[in-house]
Amino acid sequence: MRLSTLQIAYRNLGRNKRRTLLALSAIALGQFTLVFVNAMMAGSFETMIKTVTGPLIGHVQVHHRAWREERAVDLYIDNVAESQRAIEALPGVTAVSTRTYAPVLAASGETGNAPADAEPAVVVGLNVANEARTGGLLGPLPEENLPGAHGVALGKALAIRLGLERGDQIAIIAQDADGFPTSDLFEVRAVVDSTVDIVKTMGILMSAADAGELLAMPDKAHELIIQGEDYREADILTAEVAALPELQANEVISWREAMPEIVRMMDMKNWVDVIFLAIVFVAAAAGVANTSLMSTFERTKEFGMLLAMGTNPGRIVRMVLIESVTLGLIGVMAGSILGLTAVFITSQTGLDYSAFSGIEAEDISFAGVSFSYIIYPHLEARHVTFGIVAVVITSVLASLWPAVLAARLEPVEAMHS
Amino acid sequence: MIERSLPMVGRLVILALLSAAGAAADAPAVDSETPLVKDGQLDLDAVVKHFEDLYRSDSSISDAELTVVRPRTERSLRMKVWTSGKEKALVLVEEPAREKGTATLKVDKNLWNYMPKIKKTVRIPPSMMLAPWMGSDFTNDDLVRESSYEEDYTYAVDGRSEDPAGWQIRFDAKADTVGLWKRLEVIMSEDGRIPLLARFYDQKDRHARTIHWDDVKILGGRRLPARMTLIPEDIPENKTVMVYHAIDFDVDVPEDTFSLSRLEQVR
Repeated sequence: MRLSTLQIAYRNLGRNKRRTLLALSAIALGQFTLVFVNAMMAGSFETMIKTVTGPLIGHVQVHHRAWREERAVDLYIDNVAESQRAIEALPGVTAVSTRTYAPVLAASGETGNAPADAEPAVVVGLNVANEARTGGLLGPLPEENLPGAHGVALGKALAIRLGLERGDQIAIIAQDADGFPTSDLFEVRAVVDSTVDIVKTMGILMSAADAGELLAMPDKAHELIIQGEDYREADILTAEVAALPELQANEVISWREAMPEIVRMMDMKNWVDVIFLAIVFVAAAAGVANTSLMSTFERTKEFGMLLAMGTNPGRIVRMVLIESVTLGLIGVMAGSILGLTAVFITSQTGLDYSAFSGIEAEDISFAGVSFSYIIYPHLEARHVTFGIVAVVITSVLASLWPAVLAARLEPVEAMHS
Repeated sequence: MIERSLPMVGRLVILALLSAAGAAADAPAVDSETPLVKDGQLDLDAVVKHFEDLYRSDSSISDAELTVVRPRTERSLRMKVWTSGKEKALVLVEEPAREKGTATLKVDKNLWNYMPKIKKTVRIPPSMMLAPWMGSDFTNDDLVRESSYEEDYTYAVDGRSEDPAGWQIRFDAKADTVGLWKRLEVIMSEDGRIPLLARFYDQKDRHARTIHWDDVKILGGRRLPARMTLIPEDIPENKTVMVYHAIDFDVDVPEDTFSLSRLEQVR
């Protein structure tokens, strides 16, 4: 019976079980770490991007060309209603919201003994219906608490500073788009604890109509926020929106341009991916090289015999290589299965990393947006395949030298060693 | 935001904008004609005192126009100003119609704004002092700050100035003075009577503000620049122009002009 090279390789691995197991565990552990940590990071970034592109910046934004530079009240988009209809007609657009921003002075409008202190605040005029959905700036507010018709929602921190509660009056003093002083009284309909820092600390959320009236800018807005079906498709959507004739006077950008901090952090994450991949490489290389060197030296006599019997040196190279690759593959498969299982379980239950770090807070703030500490790992196929490819390549490379060494043995000398 | 003091410009604005009065004891009729030059040299102490007292009076009532210029817009407010001592002032907007009745009251270091449309008075807290006043390039702090060229700064003649032609006087903040400005350069006319230009340097010695004075007229019996232009050097395309149409010095201003209840009644 002629044994196949694969069978021989497999049997050889079984000769020193402890050594083989050690090598297998090193590779498996490397792959497990790669799969699990990458999935965890991908999960946290997914959450982060969804949080950011949800209420705050959407997938695509439209502004006056100079808005991002200056943020002056008179840098607005004109003919908002018409532009909004044109964007909504595009395929893949799920929602279009308008935003109006203006720095103002706010004070309690309640009658008191002494005039109330003014506080700096930011009026955010928005489409109440759009923002009232899950993920919108107005979050899940009940119908009767929504802004509109001279009712506003206040950021929690601002409400505390002004000493206002639901049902109170708030006085707003601003400069309109023409630069003239303007003022009005509004009723506080809700106090919101927003994930967006600026809204929580300074935000006065009001309907687009009220903001347009206060700031003398009817049918105008500072920002259009466009939601698509998937944030990954934002660049395509950006190009489509930018091509609309209605928006030629304006600037159209994707969330990547609007949120460079997040993009930089994602670039950093790609480097972390590479580092983990390198760890798997090293683990596999060390495990495989050691195992294959040891077993080749142990079998010098055997290889001499095989060569003396006329075995083709090429087959000896193949034998050693296949032995190593088999070792690597078994290890990486074991690691992948463990990693996949861990990812699957934690993606169902969620992973609260504040528990690991001993932090009491419920959320973490970055780039002006709060994120939850709970991560739902998200598996990407490449996290598994990169590890497998890396292990196969390192297995071949690490065992090539011992294999060539074995094939070049002088049969007679080898048998006498 | 930390409340920072703003000594020099505070004085400048109060002088020019609110015609703040000096201490009651020394409110002389201001001589605005005799040149303050002896033997071809500037009589520095007299010039600085004159500069400081130029718009001073026990009390005053003035008509002024505030124009705020922005790259894309320009708007003007016509206002009436009452002052008493240097502690009290009331600014009431008279035009345009939609702003009519908007008022600012200053008593010592406190500032209140009254908005007629909503019939509300709002106090400007210390944290808002560096915010713009009525959308202009002046800050609230410019209105309430009280300081003195003579007391808070050391001064010396820097020499002749070519453009505009006159004397350049350098003011350096005294070591114990806390303020926005480290130093300033003021250019006075040939006779030492009329300020022409002032450059303000912040604590990092950057040129932060420029004020131009021109349109010299007789107002309230004094020879004064009727127009003052402020340019914030960090946004040089912005400017705020203050023009006096009339000033009455040392007129009777009832004390109750400067009260919160009056603030809400003035029309």
